Amino acid sequence: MKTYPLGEFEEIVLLTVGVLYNDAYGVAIKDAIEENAHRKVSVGALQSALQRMEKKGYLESKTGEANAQRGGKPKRYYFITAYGKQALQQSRDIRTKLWDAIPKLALEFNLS
Amino acid sequence: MIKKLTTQFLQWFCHPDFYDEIQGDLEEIFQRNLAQGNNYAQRKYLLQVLGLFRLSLMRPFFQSSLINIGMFRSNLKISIRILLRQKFYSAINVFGLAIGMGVCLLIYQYIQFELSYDQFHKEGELIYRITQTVSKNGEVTAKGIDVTHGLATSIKESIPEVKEVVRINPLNFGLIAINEENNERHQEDNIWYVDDNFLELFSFPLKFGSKELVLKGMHNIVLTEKLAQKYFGNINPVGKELRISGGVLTSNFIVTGVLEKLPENTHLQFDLLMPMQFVLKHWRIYERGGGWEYEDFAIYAGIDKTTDIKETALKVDKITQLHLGEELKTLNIKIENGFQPIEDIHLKSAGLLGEIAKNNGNIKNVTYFAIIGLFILVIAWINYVNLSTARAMHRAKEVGVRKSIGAQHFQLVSQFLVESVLINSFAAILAFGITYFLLPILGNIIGKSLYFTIIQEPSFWISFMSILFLGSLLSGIYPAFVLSSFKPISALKSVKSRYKNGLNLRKGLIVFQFFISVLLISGTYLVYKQITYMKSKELGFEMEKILVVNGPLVVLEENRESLAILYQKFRTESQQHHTVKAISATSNIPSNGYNWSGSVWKPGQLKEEREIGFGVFVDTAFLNTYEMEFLTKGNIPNVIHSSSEVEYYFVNEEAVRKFNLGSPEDALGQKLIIGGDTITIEGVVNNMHWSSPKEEIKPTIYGIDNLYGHYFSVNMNLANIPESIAHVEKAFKNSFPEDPFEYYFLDDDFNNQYQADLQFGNLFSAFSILAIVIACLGLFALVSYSATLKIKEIGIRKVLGASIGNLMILLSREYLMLLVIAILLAIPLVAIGGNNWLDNYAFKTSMSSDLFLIPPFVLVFIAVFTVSYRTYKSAKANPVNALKKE
Repeated sequence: MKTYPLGEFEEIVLLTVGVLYNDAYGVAIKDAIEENAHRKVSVGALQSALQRMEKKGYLESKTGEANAQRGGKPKRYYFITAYGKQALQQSRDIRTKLWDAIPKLALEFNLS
Repeated sequence: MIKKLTTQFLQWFCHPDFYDEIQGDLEEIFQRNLAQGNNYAQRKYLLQVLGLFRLSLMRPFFQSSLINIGMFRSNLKISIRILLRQKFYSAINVFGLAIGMGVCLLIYQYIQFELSYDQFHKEGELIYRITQTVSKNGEVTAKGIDVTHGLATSIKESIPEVKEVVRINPLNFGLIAINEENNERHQEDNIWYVDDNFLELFSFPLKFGSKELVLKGMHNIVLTEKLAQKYFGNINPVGKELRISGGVLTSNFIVTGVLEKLPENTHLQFDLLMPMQFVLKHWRIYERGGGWEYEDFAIYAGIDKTTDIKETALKVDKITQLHLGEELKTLNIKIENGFQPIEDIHLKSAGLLGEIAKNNGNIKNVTYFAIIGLFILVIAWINYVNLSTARAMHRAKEVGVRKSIGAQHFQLVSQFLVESVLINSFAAILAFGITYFLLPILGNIIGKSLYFTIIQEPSFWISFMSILFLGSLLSGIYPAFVLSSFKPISALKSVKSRYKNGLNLRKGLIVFQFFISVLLISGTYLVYKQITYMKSKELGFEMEKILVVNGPLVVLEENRESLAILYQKFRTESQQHHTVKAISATSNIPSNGYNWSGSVWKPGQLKEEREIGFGVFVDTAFLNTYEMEFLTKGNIPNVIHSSSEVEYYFVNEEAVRKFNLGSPEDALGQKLIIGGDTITIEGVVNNMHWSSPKEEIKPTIYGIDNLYGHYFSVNMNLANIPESIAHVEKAFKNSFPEDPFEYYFLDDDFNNQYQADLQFGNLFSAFSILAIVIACLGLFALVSYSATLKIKEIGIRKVLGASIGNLMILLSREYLMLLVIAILLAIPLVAIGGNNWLDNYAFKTSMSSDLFLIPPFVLVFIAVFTVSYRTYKSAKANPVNALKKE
């Protein structure tokens, strides 16, 4: 089986790109991650993850419109590729499989 | 402002493909952050940009620049691959170089330590010590630092540019310190009487007490941390009382300060500071001649900045002339004063006499070690050169291919230089580790704690980097040129001719390596031989049998008349034990110097012919205790009781010779003039080594004084040492209940004199071993290499019936020849250098044939041992394997 290497942070970024669909550009992704995953994201970490995944082929991008708020610089929108979807799927499958494999007793905690 | 600069920075490093997008994102966030204040937004912006400074987002640097980074990178990659492929040779290269560099660093650190002596004093460049050179008829007779205290007073009064004058009187005998509260009492041998501005001139930080107040006053003293601990434990002893006991110097003192532990890199090593005023007042002899008679003081001076020190020295000369002119004229002596900078004292005090001048280093030794360090590094580099050129064969194909597809000479050279830099850099990193581990060991040998301080100095890094660079270049350039000079055709074709390349140079370098190894081993051998010689020399007495007990001092406070009775009591009681043979009370013991020295002459003798004599005071039991005998004896009674006047004198044979007294029989009854007093010689004894055989036997005058008991020497049978000592202690306590019983064997004390020589020997041998290890590593690798080259030859010879021994000789013959050449070259140098070094000693071991035979033999043995493993393995191998390969 072909494996798709995908880091934890990469996975979150990739998912977020999916969530935002047509609206996934730098700041929007950052905001969405900060909101959903409750963690601080630096532009550096985000950008290098994006470039890395684009190189791996999980993402593709196109240049979007510019506006004054961005000092006349264009946005770059990211989209998940088929490869990216495969990677996400594989990661999810592994997790589901592992979840299912946990014996019931192991998770039976008395939470009262 | 911050934002603008940061953006420029971003633009500079960021890959242009990403720049627009990233900058846009940042701008957007910035605008949003503005709501929380401009400063906050700018700070955030800066942090974000710093976070972006990562390799994956950077633009490719140097792509368009003049430096061809691509070529460099390829060189680097190939070098690493080659090093990894040849693990064995690379490891030997790296380790050899690392040891060489490590030793160099070690020696560098050691030298830095030696040079750092007394550099820490505030305004240290203005502190000087006064030296005096005494000459007679234009010939220098003595050079030293001991001067009179009157000189200091006059200098302070009449030379304005001398700001501070500190006199130090390092008492040359011990006193007993007593803390009566806890009855802690010991003899202290390192007590200094100093002027009250001692701590203002020298920067020794105080742990307790304040600099301005300590030592001011007749009874204020300062302890070192060590002594404070000894007498008062861990409490702050300031304000406590300490009693110092010792005849006229007895009194109660107040501790006013405690010094931090003294730095190791100062020549001023003392345990206890006492006020100068006290000793001047209580020791009456210092008043004689207006303070110009006893030379027991060292003078240190703080000078004004603008002073020309030579002129000041001339002024001091004038003062000396003023006070001592008449006397010097009658003695026909000239005294010249000099100022020695405090930073020079540690290394440049060789030949200076004086109590404080004793434990100094030696610039000669430092130079020796610097040279050894350099040699070792050179040996390591030679290894590199040898191995690289020898391995040329393997590389020849590579060079041939490179050349035929168009590589230029320069490109090939740079390839090999990169390799050399790489190996040298690895070695350098390893070297730091080696140094770090060896430093404590080195510290152990020299008895100082050394720290790796040089790495904190930028100047060190500059020189280190430049040496590393130069070394890489020097060791890389020859192999680089040899390798790159191959003709592509021949490089791709034959084998034999290439191995010959650089063979002569390689041989020359091996000879050089072994030449140095022979020198180092011979040096080590000679140093140890001399030490063994000195230790085993007949000293004229058996020091192993003599127990030294510090003489009683507290008892001196009592009536001196009863002292004779107490001495006698101690003697009789001790001798009741069958192991105690004899006890003698003396003013000093062998290895510890004399009590007196000065001009001695026969009445009517010409001034020019007068010689210096040395004196000690002993009792009548002295000869018996030290197992010496009178060669001739006048009317010295066997036992003298309760005499405080010295009436009887005897001399040794050397004195008879030096003072021109004829035969020992003739000497009897002759008169000698000693500093104004006339004495009669009542006996002559054989010579003994009062000091180590490093020094000549001095013309000695023994005065008989039964009450001068600074030391008791107990001659005893060594059958049951603890019991004998316990018995002597009991007798001692019965007679001198207030005094501490402190003892040691004379041989321990005496052998301390060899410590500097032993240190030198240990260092020398340690560095020699390292040098030999490196040389042998190289030899081993070379032999291994030539074995792989000759593998076919060995195979054929073996098939034809050659024995293993034959083959081993075949493989090592070449190198053993080189070894012999190296030994032949080294022997004359060993002879010259050895003679030169032995001149430091008055009694020297012979430069006999063993010096020229044993060290080379050791080296040959080591070398044969090194190569035989490898040659044996090659010779033992199955010839089929060797012949099968093609």
